[in-house]
Amino acid sequence: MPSDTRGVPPESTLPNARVQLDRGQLLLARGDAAGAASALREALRLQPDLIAARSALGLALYGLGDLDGAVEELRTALRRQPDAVDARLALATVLVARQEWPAAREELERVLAAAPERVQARYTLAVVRYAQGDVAGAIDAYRRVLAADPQQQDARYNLALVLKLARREAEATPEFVIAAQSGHARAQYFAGAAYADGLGTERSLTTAIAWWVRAAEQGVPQAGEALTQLRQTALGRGSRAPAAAARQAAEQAFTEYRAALWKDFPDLTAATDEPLGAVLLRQGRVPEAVTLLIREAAALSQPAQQLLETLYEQGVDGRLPAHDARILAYLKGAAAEGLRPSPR
Amino acid sequence: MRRALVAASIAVAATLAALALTALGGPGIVTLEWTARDLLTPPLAPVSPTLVIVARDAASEARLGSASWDRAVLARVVTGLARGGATAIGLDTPLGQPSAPGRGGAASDVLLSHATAAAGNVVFAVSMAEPVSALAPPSRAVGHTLAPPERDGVVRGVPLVVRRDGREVVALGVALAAVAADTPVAFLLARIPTGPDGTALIRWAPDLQVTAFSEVWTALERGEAETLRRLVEGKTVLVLAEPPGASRATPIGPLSDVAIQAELLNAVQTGGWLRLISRGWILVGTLALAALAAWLGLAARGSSASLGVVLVLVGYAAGLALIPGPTGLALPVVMPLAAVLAAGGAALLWRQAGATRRLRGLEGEVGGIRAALARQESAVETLEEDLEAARAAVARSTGAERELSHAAEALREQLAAARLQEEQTRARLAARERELRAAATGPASLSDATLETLRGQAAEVGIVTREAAVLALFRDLQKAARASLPILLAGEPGTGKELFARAAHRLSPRAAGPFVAVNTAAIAPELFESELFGHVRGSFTGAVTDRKGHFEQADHGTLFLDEIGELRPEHQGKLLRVLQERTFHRVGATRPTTVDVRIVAASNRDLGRGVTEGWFREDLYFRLRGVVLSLPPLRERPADVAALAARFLEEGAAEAGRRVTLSEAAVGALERHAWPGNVRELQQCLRRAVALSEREILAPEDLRLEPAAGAATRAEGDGDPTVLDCLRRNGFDMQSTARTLGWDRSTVTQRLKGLGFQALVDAGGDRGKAAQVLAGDPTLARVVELKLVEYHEHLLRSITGFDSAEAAVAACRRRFKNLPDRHFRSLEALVRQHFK
Repeated sequence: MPSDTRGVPPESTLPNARVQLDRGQLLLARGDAAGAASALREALRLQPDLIAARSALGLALYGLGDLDGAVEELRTALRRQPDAVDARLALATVLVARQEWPAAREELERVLAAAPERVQARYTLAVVRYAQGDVAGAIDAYRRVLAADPQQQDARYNLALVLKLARREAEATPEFVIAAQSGHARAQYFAGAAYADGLGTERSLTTAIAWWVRAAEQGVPQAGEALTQLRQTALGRGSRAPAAAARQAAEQAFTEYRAALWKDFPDLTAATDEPLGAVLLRQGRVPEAVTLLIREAAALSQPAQQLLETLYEQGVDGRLPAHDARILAYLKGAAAEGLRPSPR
Repeated sequence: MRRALVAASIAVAATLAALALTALGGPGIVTLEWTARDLLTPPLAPVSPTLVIVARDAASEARLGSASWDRAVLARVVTGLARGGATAIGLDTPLGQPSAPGRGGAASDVLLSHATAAAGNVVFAVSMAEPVSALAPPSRAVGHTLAPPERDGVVRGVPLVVRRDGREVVALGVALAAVAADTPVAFLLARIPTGPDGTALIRWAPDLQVTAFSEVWTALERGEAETLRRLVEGKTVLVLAEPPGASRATPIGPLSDVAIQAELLNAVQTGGWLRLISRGWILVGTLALAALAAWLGLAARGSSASLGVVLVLVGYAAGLALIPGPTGLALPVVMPLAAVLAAGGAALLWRQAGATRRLRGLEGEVGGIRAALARQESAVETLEEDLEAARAAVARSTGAERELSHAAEALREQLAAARLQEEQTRARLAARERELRAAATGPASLSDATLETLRGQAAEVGIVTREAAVLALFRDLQKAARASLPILLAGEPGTGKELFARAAHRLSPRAAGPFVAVNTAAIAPELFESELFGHVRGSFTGAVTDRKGHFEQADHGTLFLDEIGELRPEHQGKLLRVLQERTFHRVGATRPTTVDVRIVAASNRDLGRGVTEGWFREDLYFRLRGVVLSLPPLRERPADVAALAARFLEEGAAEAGRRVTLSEAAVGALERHAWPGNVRELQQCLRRAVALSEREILAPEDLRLEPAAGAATRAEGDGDPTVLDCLRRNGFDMQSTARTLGWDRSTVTQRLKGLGFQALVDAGGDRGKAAQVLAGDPTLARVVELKLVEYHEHLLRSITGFDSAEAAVAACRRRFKNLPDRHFRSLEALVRQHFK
């Protein structure tokens, strides 16, 4: 694939090493590690003591998968300029990739001693401490990241995971929920799982379905499988026939979930005999209608399912072509699950 | 009873030796034991229908990487398998460390933990080397994957329980089987046979079905719940998801530690165990087998003894191959087989040693009987003469008739008793000689098929016979010919010794080399060395050129020394040296000559007796008798007469250029004849008949067979030198000399008596000297002396009580009336000397 060279000065016009460094850093930021490495090497040829170029070359080599080369360049840079925090952080990152936990932790702690505000360093330190099996240390590190920047949802999600592994469900679930609310797909799945099992929160299959649907829409396979399993329970299928109570609970949860969907549309009055998607479709809100119809069908609404099949076959004049890819993906899944026959 | 005792002793000794061998033999013996057991006892076990092994394959590695996989992958698999209805799920994922960030980090650990908790029937393999992480998934159980090899480096069993940090950890296969069956592990453990070290020996199943991981993964990704359900519903699933580590040698080839656990699991589910037998039972069984082998080795006849021992070995080997399958018993290999071999071998050796002892005993007994016979013969003859004298006295003197007739009666009784004794001694001698021959030639019990084969092979080398005894000899000859052992051929003249010698040459690896036959009796004593060893030019008068001796002529071939019994003592010594050193000096040569010669010797004299009587060197005798073949006289092989006759007749007829056959009566006459001259006499007889008769079908009278008895008339005609020569050849045995000459035995006795008296006169009454002269060969002197003493004593007893030499001579003339006149003169001289 040709590299993106927009805004990068042509090579022949480069007057000095600084320009090559800028060019290399720009290419690195765009993900062209090979181009960046070439420019940075040129910069270092012109000016061997250009520490920033060497740090960047280390990262470029890391991007190329040359971990040994990266470590060597970064260590060289740090020998010449031990206070180069960026270079040290880059070195720690490469060491993490090499799974050299003690060395990585040492570099990260030095970075944080010099620049305590570096959230990235603290986050990586948390990862390293977990990898070392230091659960308490990892929890502490993640909490410090969140204290510095509460919007670090990855950190929150990871904090929740470690808390869960430490069997501290009551602390873990609220963190999963916060991350889920921010749109973190995997956090949504785990939030769903927490509600489904009643871990660290009250048991609510309806809420679980809501989170799983959103996670599944973001491509988390476990969420899709969890929903499939719940549907099988509600339909009384599966290798081990579910207990009647479980079946009833699942069935009711899907019904409640479908009803709850209306709450997102306060302008509409909930109807019992018609899917929400059908109402939206009538109002010409086609994209929203398709999304809602898929959610309702996945929540075992037969009318939504039939309407989706019709939409797939016929489309909506001028608004939705026939054989829509989203609808097809849903119908295929439903067929594999045994809900409906496979679409032609 | 004695044999049973010997067999028991041998069995006990062999068992103890085998026990010591297995206990002290080290890893070599362990390796031998197990390798043999692996080979002989196919460790096949049935395959459990409820076992599913899911193993990573190339396709799954292409999709998920070749290193350890993200635990999220395993979590999905666990969930999928649990939903598919697997009764238990085994995972080989190590739980020592949390997931690295590159492999899903904490999220994957949570996913696996969640999936494990949801499934509720997952069993993890734990490494005994590293601790289980505090973050490990909440599995139903864990199991170890240890499988220490035997001392030969091969894994055959698994320790069911090992201790770890003070806790007992069961083997993964057992833990998984317990979860699948929903039974406590202790319940299963109680039903698995283990050795003293707690290891269960597995019967391996090389055909365990393995499902590719990619197949399961594809079904999961496509949401094909039904496919998974069909695959795993109601089954125990062991997932081998880790990259294959080091493999260990097992009886069915190299396997990873977890694959060995799969075999263990299969064994638990199918009861596929090998049970080791306790040391006590092994000892008892070994003792029984060794006793059986020893008994067969001692009690069975001939080659069936070795066959019996081999059968015990083969039988046990068959047991090794057949018993473990249905019973699951792992029979010991080395100890019983070693004990059977040792016991069987010892029994056979014992038997062999017993046979040799018996042979020696028989030889000694025969020597003793011969000496007794010589004395008894003389006693009989003496009594006969006394009786004769008594009769004559009765005829002369009627006055003393009554008294004398009483004396005659007493003598007659004594004579009858003496004759009976002699006959008995002779019968004993014959029996012992037969035994000796049978012992030397080995078992004559050959099968008909073997006899037929041997007959054909013998005919190829010119040996015509139907007699089993001769064929047994021929079989021994074949064996001896192949191994370059010296062969000693014994037998009366004309029994085919040279034919056998030539056969030995033709059947030997030296067949392409020369065959040199030498009649040692025909060599002039002064030329002995020159003839045998050769000479260099000028070494003695008449040696005008270099000459190779018979030994050199026979180099790389066979030297047949006929009439070896006629060798002088000094020549015996020289021959012995050549046989020992294989080198000699040509006469006049300074350098030794080395030859490679195989010796076949023959004698019509009993060399064993020669050793006893001192006329044949014992060391030379033992050097020559590698294999001794005693060829029976023709009268002992009547079945061969007709075949041999036909053969000789054919040869004679071919020479004469006409067709001649034998009438049935002629064949009958031939078969009835005694053939003192053996096969050679038969050959001469038929050639003579063909030459002298003009008839096409020969009648008995054409054969001109002379009756054996009635030859006495001819006796006088033969000169003393001939008779003496014949006596010497037959070792002064009256009966065989009589048979050779075709005379009555008493005629021979009278001639020897006369010769003895003559020799005594010549020697001035010195019996020893006279015996030496008469014997010709110093080795025969002793036996001649025995006889001379007897004759002389009898003579002296006969003339006791007479006043004058004249009266004594007159009495002797009546008493020794059968003595030839020329010898009576010697007797007279002895009598006169006595009275002087």
